[in-house]
Amino acid sequence: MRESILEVENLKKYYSDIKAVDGISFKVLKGEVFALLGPNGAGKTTTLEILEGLKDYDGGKIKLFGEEVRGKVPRHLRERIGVVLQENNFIDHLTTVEILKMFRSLYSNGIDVREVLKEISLEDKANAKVEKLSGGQRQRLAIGTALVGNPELIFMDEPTTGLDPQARRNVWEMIEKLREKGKTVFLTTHYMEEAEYLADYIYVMDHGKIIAKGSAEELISSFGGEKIIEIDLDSKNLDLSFLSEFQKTKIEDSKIIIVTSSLPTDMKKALDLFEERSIKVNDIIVRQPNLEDVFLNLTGRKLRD
Amino acid sequence: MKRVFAIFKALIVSSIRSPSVIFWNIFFPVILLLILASIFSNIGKEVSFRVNLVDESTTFKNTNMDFASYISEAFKEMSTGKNAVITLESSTTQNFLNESLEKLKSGKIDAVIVIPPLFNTQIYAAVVQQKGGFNLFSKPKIEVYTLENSQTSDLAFTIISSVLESFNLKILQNSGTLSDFVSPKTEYVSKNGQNFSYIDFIVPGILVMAVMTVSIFGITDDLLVQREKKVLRKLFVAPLNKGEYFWAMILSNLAIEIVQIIILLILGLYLGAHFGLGILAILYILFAIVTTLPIGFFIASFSKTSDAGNALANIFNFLFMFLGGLFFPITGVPLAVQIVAYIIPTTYLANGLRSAMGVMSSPTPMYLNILVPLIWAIVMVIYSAKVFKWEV
Amino acid sequence: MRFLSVLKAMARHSVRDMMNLFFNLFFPLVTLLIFGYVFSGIYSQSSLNVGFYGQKLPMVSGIKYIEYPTLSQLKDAVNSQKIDLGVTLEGTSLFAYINPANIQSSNYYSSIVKSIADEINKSKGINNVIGVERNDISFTGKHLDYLDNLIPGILALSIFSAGIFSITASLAHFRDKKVIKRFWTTPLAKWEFYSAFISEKMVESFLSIILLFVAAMIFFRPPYSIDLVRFTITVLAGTFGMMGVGMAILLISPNARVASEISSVLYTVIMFFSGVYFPLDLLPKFLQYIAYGLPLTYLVMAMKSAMGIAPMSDLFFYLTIGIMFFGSVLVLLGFSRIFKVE
Repeated sequence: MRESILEVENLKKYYSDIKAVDGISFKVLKGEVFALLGPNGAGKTTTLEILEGLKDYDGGKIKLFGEEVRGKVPRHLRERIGVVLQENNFIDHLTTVEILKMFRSLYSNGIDVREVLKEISLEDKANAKVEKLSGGQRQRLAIGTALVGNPELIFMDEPTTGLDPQARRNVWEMIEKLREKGKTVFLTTHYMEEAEYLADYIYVMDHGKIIAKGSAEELISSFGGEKIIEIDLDSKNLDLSFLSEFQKTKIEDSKIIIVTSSLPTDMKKALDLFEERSIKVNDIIVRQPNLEDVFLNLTGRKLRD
Repeated sequence: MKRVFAIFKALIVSSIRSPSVIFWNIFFPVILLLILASIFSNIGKEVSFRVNLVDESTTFKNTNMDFASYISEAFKEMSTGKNAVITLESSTTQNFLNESLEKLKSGKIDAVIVIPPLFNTQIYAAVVQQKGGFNLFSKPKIEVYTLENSQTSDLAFTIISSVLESFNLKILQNSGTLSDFVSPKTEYVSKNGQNFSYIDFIVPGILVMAVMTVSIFGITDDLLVQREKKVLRKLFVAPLNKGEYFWAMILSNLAIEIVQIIILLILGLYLGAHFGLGILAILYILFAIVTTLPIGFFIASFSKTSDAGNALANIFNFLFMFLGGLFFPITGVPLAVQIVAYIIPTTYLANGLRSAMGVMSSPTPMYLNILVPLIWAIVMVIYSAKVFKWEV
Repeated sequence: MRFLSVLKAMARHSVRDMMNLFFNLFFPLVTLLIFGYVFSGIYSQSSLNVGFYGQKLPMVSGIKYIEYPTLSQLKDAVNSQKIDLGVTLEGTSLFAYINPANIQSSNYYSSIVKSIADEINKSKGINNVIGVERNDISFTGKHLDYLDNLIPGILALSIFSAGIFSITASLAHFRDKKVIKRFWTTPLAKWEFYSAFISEKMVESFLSIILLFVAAMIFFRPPYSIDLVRFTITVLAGTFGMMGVGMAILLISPNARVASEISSVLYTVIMFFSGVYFPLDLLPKFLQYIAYGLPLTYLVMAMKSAMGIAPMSDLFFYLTIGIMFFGSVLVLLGFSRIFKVE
């Protein structure tokens, strides 16, 4: 059994009548990549900012590195964490290397700035002013500032939101490398594929509550070997009420998603139903369920709605 | 045309909703007019001075020859009543003199009047010798101590000496030598023969400043900020051409300027300014608006960012405002500054507008008042049209 | 050493920020030069051009006569500012024609006219019985002109803007951009950040004032006798006090943009009421009351006393400075209000 670095018990944060975080509990084990997955407004950032010591909370208990923490994290613990905020702005007009050096000097056991530069692949931008960096480069620099203090635990708030696919890949690779080095990463995301790709353990959060947890495989297999049939129709806005014969369906525009546990029967049934009503079917795909389907299944909503 | 109107409406609405646009374009000129008017029309009025009087005179005490006491009575008179011009403290001791001088030095009072010991005797002697036409005895002298470098003290001295002047007149009158006495009279001259005041001078200046400011800050902002926020790009992707945006922008700034001018004119009248608003004046105001509009465009065309544009706008605004003689006449400045003053358009616009509003004759010939701003405008339009980049 | 590295970063940020350099250094410098040249021209004209019509008038010092053939031409010349002053003798009245635009100089003009009248009377054998002798008592023992009084005012304005904008522009920007939030998650202590920020702004304000002052000394050579202790204290306390004002503005503003808009409005309005451009005594009474309630007024006074051109007793000076330093309390209060853990 690996030791747990962070324990959260029944954490609550209320804003007047809004329950931003409504009694959540979890444990983060050393060396794992832990993802808090949920749509915008689920309470992920609030949770993260409480853990980082930027916000106080209204109930529950937080144990960071075995010490109970409330409000601002004590300095000796701040030495051991690295943070990547959602919005990454730096002191303008400074260069990449100057920013890293400044952050390095804030920690007592930091690592060499050149090493960090290499790790975040910004060696060729070392002397570029931060305002001249691209979105992806800024994000990498933000991660660099979190790494330069040689932390054990790194918090990342939506590390790839707003990045292009290439830049997102780069960030994923960096997180992979962190895992290899034995660092613990706590990240929030609203990208299924990100959680699926990176995380050892996923907590699904919605409306301030944890609605599911487990590894990606576990979450998906909670569907019990079910399969997904995706049917693409030619036209939209048809009367599709007959689909209620199936247990779980979801309609988006011209696309119909059917969750099934007996593929051959349901497939035939679906095709028959369409044929009876002479609805033209464009395309049919049968696939394994993914996390997107898990969320859909749990909340009836798509994650990015 | 419909699209021009739509953009015009959008720009106007965004201006109206922006407190800073309203402040700088409407309130600021109004406040400035109020401040300058109240300060400069207040000079010499409503100001009160703190004066100490030391009466050391010892001769002819309690006789009808006691001029010293007449004088101190006169000052005491001025320090009483509702509209007291001075606050007076008086005494007769040498100690008091030293005290007063100390106070004067530290700025606690504005002037010290000293009447010398033999004052009354000297006056008597002076009158006698004036009659006899000889010149033997030294004349009576009142010493007035003032604080150097203090405008208040200067004003106090002017008032004190005018009081003493009136005593002189009286004494001369009594001695019968007054008939030929020349005394100064001051008259303010204006073009239209009316009572001219500083407000008359300042109103056209503020008008020029106001229309210029709208152009310098408004147009620069419309172009640079919208370009930076990629609003321009979006608009041009929609079926809108640059000309249409341009005219909408001009119109929206024009609308602000017209409101602003009306408010300033009304305020000017309320403050008691005298000016004519004939067809010539209105035409010249329009001329000023048209010739200042390109300034903003000009600044925008050589600014890469809205920050740089803002900085440049500040510099232009400042130069055009203070070197254009909008608030006070520029005379006797060093040659280099004078050259700049006679190059910039606001100097001519202010002169031209003052003349067109019948406030004062223009120191520069009228054809230059038309020509110089026009040349500036044409050059700026041509330059900007060539250089300005609609997208970055 | 955390303090030093944040200080270094802030300093780099400021020095490389063109807008900051422009508004804190270049713009006040341009203001100083333009006002310097314009006002020193207006107030220290070497000789007045005095036009006259009719009878020849006696010469007095400081003027140059120009003759006009008709009265209306004389008036016209005054009206269009070709001459500073027009005079004509009619019987026993010496008429002086003044353009109201020159209202600032009208006192000086009146005194010139009076001395012309005195000369005329003297030539007729009429002498004033009572002579008036004016003795200028000087605090400095030197002659100061308008510009010499203006320079400390402009320096004070510069302190005012540096102090206020350091909070409402600089600090607010860092807050809105979450730069400060990021610092809170590092081992940096709050006081280390505050003190680094404040120290950097202090040094910045101090250096820019020194630069402006040196420029003023080079271009205009004002005859100051500087009290270095008072000068230093005034700059430091002034910056502190104005930071306090900036913090008060920031606390009532929803974001950085609004805060800096409010500050620039305040800056533009206050500068007319604080004895920078004209002495407060000349303001209407009700404006004087406003003026004596404004912090800039006292900063200008303190600056003038530091330059040795205006009196200010020790008690008054240190009381003013004390109140300015009180601004630091506001600053700290603001820091804890703005950056508390929610």
